[in-house]
Amino acid sequence: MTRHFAYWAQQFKTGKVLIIGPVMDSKGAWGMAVLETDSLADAQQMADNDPSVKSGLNKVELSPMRVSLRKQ
Amino acid sequence: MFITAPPVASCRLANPIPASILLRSMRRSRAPSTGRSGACGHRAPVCLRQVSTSTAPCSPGRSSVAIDRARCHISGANKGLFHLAQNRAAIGIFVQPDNGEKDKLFEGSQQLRHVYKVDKDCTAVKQFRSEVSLSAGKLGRMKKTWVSPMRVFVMALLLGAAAALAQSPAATPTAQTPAPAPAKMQFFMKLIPPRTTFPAE
Repeated sequence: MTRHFAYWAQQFKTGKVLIIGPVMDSKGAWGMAVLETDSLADAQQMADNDPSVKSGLNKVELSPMRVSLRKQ
Repeated sequence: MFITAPPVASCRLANPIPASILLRSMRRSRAPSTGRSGACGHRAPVCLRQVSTSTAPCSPGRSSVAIDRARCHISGANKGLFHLAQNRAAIGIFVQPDNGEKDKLFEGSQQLRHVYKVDKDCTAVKQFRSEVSLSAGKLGRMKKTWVSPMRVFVMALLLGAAAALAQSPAATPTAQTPAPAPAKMQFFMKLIPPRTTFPAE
């Protein structure tokens, strides 16, 4: 998980990650992020390169979304 | 960048001087100090008088002699002005000669050009140069002129502001705008751990 955190911290610096963090769901915690990339392929590649995904610890799902309002 | 303007009340800009008739340029900073620093015209008249004396009669023969004589200085002058254009903003001031057709500035007569070296941020007048260009056929005695550095400084500020205004997007509505960057897409990523509890960091 340390490498997982370090990886996303690095991605955050590139500006492609708008927000990221764990969601404390009562049914079980999971991680979320909002990515901003040029294409779905870029986002998928970014998610697949997550060490926790590479190692098989986590599974990743990506859904297109539209950020309607964002804090500047 | 050269910004040119006559120092007189008229706002008409001078036509560019043809390189073929550029005669002489002198470096003010190398001149001995003669009181008010930055003021032009102390050594310049020496240079100008040399040209004007030999070309005062409007005879083609003497004009060509004067031009040939003055061309001896062209290479050095161009180097200096090139250096000036590369490194500093400059203000060129054209002064109408005595015999110049009053209503036709700088047409068919001598041109005395003072070039001031101004900081890029237009905070100081650094250096002075002057050059004389002649239009063949109409040669006469040049007018001695003196333009204060403060006047040049104010002119530099005004011209700089005008140049900035002219380059602003509002001033050039027809200018082509750069192509917009490709739109970014947002994705919601969900990382689902196999366990029901989030591992502690």
